[in-house]
Amino acid sequence: MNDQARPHLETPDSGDDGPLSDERLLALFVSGEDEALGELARRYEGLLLGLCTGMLGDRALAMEAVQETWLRVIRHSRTYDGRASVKTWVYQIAMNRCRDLGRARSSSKNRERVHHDRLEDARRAHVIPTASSIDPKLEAAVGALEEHQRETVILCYHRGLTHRQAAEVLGVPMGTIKSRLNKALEKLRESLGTTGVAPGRGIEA
Amino acid sequence: MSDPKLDQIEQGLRAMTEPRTESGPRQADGSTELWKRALEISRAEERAGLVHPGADRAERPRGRRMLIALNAVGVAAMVLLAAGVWTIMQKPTPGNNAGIGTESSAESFSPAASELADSGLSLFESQRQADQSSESAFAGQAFEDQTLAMADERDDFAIEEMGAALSRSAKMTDGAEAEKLADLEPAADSLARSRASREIAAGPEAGADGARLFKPDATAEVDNSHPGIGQMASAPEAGLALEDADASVMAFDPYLVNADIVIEVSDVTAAFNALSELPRAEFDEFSMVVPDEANKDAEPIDELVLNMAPARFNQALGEIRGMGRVIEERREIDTPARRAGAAIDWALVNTAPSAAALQTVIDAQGLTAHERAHRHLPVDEAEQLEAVRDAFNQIVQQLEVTRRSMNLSRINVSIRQAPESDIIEE
Repeated sequence: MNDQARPHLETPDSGDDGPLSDERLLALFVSGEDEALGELARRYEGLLLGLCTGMLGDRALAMEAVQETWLRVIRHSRTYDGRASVKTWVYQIAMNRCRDLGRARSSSKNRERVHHDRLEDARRAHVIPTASSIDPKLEAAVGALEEHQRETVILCYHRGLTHRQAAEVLGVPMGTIKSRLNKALEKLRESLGTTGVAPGRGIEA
Repeated sequence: MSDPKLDQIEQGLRAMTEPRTESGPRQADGSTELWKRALEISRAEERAGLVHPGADRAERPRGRRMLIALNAVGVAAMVLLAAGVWTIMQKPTPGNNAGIGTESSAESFSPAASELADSGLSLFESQRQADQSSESAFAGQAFEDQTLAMADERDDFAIEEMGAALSRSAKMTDGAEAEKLADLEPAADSLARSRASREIAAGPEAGADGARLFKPDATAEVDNSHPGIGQMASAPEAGLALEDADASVMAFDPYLVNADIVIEVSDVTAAFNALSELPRAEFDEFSMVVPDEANKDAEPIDELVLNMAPARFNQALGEIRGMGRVIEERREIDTPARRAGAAIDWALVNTAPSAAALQTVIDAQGLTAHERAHRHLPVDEAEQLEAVRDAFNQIVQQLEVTRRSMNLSRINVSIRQAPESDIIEE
């Protein structure tokens, strides 16, 4: 990304050259600086798009989820109360949008089949690059997990979040995250034809 | 100890949620900077006056104060309504005591309403007459009688709506659901009244639907498909716990979506019929059939446009996907402002034939019957009157469709017959 292209956000109290915090950027946006939202988006839009694509298995839906996430951030920016970090808050909104879109889609009879079919449809329509390293079998297996397990596994392996932040986004303790993640990995191994996940594997605090 | 299979799974999981950067596919499919689109939509909403506290940055609490005030007005209205019901139940009058407070309210409506429906006189017309009477300061007995009759009708409607709500509450066996319903009663009442006022404004339809207007649907359930309830999941995003959030804030989420979807099904007729049943009149939803006029020799392709309430859009799309195999799907977010422009264009195009029909009547004036016949114009007065009536009805219908379409998300569905091999496999 070209840093020089980024707009300079002039603030009365930002004397140092360090990047502004997410919270400060949100406050600037609330006070009328639209570019502050742009800076927030530059930090998180790509991450959110990746997360939502993983959650929904559909790039078009993921784009809709991310756009709605920003829409809701804009609408509710004034009511942000600082109880959670802006990052966690934005991720919570994105997860809510994914849940809504995912539930609407799961009303069809066979979720796993639809999930896989839609991925194939999207690939055929070149919405998702065919050169993607995503394993369709793994994608289908993740899609077949229970919702809370799917959310856990997606968030925990998402590059933008630590497991502790994932726990904050989901609003559950770290212990719950670990147990969910273990069960999810075990199910994935079973689905993909192997058994026996080493306890605690994949957990990094 | 390293586990290659698990490593592979973990690698795959990381790839699934890999951040999408500015380069590559995002630019290729035009999806860059979604936040800008969101900002544009938000600004458009503010300009359209549809939303909400952010519209005026200088007066931050204004929106919340207004909401509180509106809630207070709603509560006051409910109290007044309850008092009115109580008063009327205590002192029944000959004209409006049928069906009050009974479980069979769906079957009963006032004699005044019955007469109105039987005579085919539209509510719109009677309201207009009342207004005219008022404007001309007519203070005679006839005016008083008419005003009283109108008041009776309104009371009947309110009472029967309340009866239906009570009936629904009685049917609730689950305590939690009953509580939820009780919380949502004001919203449901508001919806019903809004619907009633729209039906009155519909003019020609209102007379025919007069009886329906006064008969609440006893089978109607308030469930998750209700637009207001559907948005409640969004409440935590307002910085509030779900139970503390005001669902009414979320009930007016105004973004609209246009979607195109092509599905392949084993039975086109069955799919078409199922699709036609998706729109629900109580949310102003409707469907339109798109005839395939371009190529009559092409394979049979049925096309249907479903106009759905935004909160029910995803549910409808999910049901459509479940009907068969999705061949193609696109969607784009629309704004009320853009939709209004498109709706006006649509109305202009679709009322043009009716305008042309009216023009033929104008052109027919001053000509002899022979000249009219020669120019293919309505020959006699009866034919001209019929042409004018048809044109007027068409224009009213098209305008009604236009009005509805401005607040609805749109799904353009193409249904294709699945190849024989696919059907056998299924």
